[in-house]
Amino acid sequence: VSIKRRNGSSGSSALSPGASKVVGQTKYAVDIYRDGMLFAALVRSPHAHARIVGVDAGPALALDGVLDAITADDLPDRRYGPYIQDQPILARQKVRYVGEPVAAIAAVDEKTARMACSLVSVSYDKLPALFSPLDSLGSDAYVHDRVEDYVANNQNLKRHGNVCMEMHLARGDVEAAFAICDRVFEGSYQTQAVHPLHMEPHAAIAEWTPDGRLTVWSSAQEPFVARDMLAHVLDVPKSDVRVVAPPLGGGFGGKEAIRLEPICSELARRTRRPVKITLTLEEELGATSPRPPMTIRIKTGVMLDGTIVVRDADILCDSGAYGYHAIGEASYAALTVVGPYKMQAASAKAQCVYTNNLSFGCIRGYGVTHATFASEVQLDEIARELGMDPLDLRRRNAAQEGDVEITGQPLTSVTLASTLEAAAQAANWSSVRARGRSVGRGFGVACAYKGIGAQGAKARVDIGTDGRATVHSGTIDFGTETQTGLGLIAAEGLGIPPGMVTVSLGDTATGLFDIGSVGSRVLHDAGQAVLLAVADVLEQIAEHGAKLLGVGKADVAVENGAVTTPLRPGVKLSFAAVAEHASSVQKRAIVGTGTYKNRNLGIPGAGTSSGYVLNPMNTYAFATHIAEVEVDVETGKVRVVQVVAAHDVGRALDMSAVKGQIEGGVAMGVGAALSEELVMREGRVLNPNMIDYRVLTALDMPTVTPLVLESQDQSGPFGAKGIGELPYLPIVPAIINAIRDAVGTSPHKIPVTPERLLAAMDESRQSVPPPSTADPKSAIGQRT
Amino acid sequence: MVDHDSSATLSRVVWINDVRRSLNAAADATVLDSLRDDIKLTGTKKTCDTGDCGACTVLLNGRPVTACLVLAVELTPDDRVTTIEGLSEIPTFKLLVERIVAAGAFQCGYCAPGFMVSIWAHVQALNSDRANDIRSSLAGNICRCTGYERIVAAVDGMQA
Repeated sequence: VSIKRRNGSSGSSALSPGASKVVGQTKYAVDIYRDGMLFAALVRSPHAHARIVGVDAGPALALDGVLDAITADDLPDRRYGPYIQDQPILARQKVRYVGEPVAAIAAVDEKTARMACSLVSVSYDKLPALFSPLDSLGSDAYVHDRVEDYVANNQNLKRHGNVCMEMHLARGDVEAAFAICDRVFEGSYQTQAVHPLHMEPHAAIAEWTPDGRLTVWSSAQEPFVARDMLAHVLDVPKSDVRVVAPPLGGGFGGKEAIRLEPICSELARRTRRPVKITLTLEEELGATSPRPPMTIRIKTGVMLDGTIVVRDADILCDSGAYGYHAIGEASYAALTVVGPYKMQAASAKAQCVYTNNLSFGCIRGYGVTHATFASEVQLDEIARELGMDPLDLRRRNAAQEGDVEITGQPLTSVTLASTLEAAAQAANWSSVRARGRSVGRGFGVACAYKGIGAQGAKARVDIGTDGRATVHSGTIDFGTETQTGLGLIAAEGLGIPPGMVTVSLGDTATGLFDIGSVGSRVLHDAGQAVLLAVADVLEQIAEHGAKLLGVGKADVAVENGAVTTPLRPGVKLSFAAVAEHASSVQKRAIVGTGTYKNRNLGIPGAGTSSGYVLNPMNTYAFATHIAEVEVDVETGKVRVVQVVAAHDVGRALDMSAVKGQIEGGVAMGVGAALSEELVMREGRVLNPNMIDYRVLTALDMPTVTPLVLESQDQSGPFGAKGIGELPYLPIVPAIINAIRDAVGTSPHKIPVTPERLLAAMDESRQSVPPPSTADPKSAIGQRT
Repeated sequence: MVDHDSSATLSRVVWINDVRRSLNAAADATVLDSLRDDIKLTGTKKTCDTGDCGACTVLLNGRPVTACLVLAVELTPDDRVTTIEGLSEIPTFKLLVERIVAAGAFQCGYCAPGFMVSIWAHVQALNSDRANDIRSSLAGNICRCTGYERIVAAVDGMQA
């Protein structure tokens, strides 16, 4: 089957919610106001680590308009977490980071609730705090008393002391491989806390029915996961909880799991009124879950011709106060730190370590952001040392179909080489390099890959008696044209026009369990589930159609939205007629369900693993970015002039939406490379506002040329992969490599602020230039 | 400290989308909060509340302002506030919406109403021959999804 691709623009189809968003009609969670609704606000810890001695909410409760106050003592003693259940809803006995919620107030309006929070008096006994993972590793004091006592969601999770995750993946004889290398390069690379900074803050509204059933409207990327976690921490049956995720004003990984839902649920239960919580930007940037800072040490062994032989990496991840999604980020960084390259052997270790910084989470790319930065910057340094064109180095080592990743899993539909060639051609790479450049102007290249689909999915498709199809998926809408993607897949599978399909997202009352809109998985996983549900629907239509036609099921064909049979030429039943017959005569509804299972490749024999908690990926997508920068050598300020972004997407179902994802990912990447960093001192975020945490404006954008390459992926629906995260990955090292091309050096720590760049330039001027030698084997780089 | 009994009665009656409406005019009440919480005009969005992101851009007497930085108590009875809901009634604005939607300019769409108000002001300025550059006109509006490319492309070079 080949799907009809939309070359036209997204947002203009019947399936797209674009128009109502533009005129402000779309109701995001923050826009929901229920009758009699109260507003809640949070009392937050001013300390990074302290014992809670007592909480006195008396003065707050005395304030006019305040209805209720809760602390951890009012909630079941239950913890949650995506990998380890270490996090309480409100701090219990101890606070572990600045800004951790300690109590919550419900009042008639938001201002009153916030004012009341300032009247709650909490007494603390301050405890010594840990702010760096290295200190935590060497400390006898623990952020959590006994990490082993917490429930782990995966039995492989290894933990001890301040370490909440420790893992090792390896393939081949690493030691022997290093021994045959001509050169060995070693470097250490540091990433920063980057906030997703979705424009819509976190918001949740809870409301109970008199018979004890709970509905929560939440800005949740994972409504079903949120429902399950919410039921767990409140100790109520899942079936009594409904989570509805209206369209989200952005997420980028910042709105996973739960955060505010249990608090407003408990306040709503106690006050018998709907309760809403919305975070301020200061709370978002200062007390939620940015991606964790990591230090990545990489040792790479190569031959003089540029062939990569072996790589060994060690990742130290600051988990912050809880394991949360930092565990996943660190694990995924370890999985991908070898990069999309062929090599004989590889080893990657990761440790995720508790500190008293924020409870770190995840962002677009889920750990691969860190690994790609470190890996691709080192590859450029290697190329420079070997005197090779950095693009040639990547060409020489690019993974091919059937090459295996570090787990031993074979890579399929590998298209890295074609993205390299497309990007090189569009950027005139060879002539640009041959021409030579003035100081301050440079070009950089970087590649990346991202796994797609790891959890499977479920979906439901109903055919109404009007012949229209409704697709129910537990994914959500946050601007990735999910309605368009899933709707087109259903329409194509059913053989009806897209205008006959409605896509309903994000409601646990109508959908089937789905882990949500994360990991670039929706189009691939949920799309496959929709196709399976469509197959189920077509079976039922054939069955009911055959009965209506009075023939056997084997004698009917379902094509182009109609049922026909050669036994009765000229007779054509519409889906509406079949559904109506099924309903009124057979007393059956046409409801198809689909369960798409992960291919579950496991860790094949080729690799060894310990402590590894992620699922294998179904497929991979590949990309190459080339960036051109201008560096002001006096001030250290970097301007990204243009970016060529070549992406393999499998099959592009909506070309405009794909290009929009590429442009948006590049914009976020420029921020991560040059300006975005939550600066923390003793656990306190110093820049929780949009002036000091700087994201790109329209004036800062480089010219972006998205190149969409298509391939036929065997794994996804109609050959589609996924595009959400990948554009954010190669852009960062491409910029850093361009900076090095421009001025001869670049810091190993991002973001490359003017201060950091000037310091690196000073340092490189002071250092002795590398000796040029007849025997390159003895030159820079340690020989093992 | 706000006296809640009297704050409910403090108000400013102004033109909102060409209708006389009453805004909460307590000393610390912003036009943004009153539009959203009291009048339930939720098309105007709130993100930073410090005038940095542009999500709450509305027209005040025809000029774009961030509603989070305007206190209702500052307004006079003649002042005219136009929100995205008000603009949406204008036929030429509807053409602009069609153009933007056809370009797939926005993704999550949360910042879109604020952008649309700024874009409208930009287009009006073009008509009055005041020189302005689209990127400069939109520099006060932050979008985290799109990279601005499709928004700029959809507006660039157009005349209202």
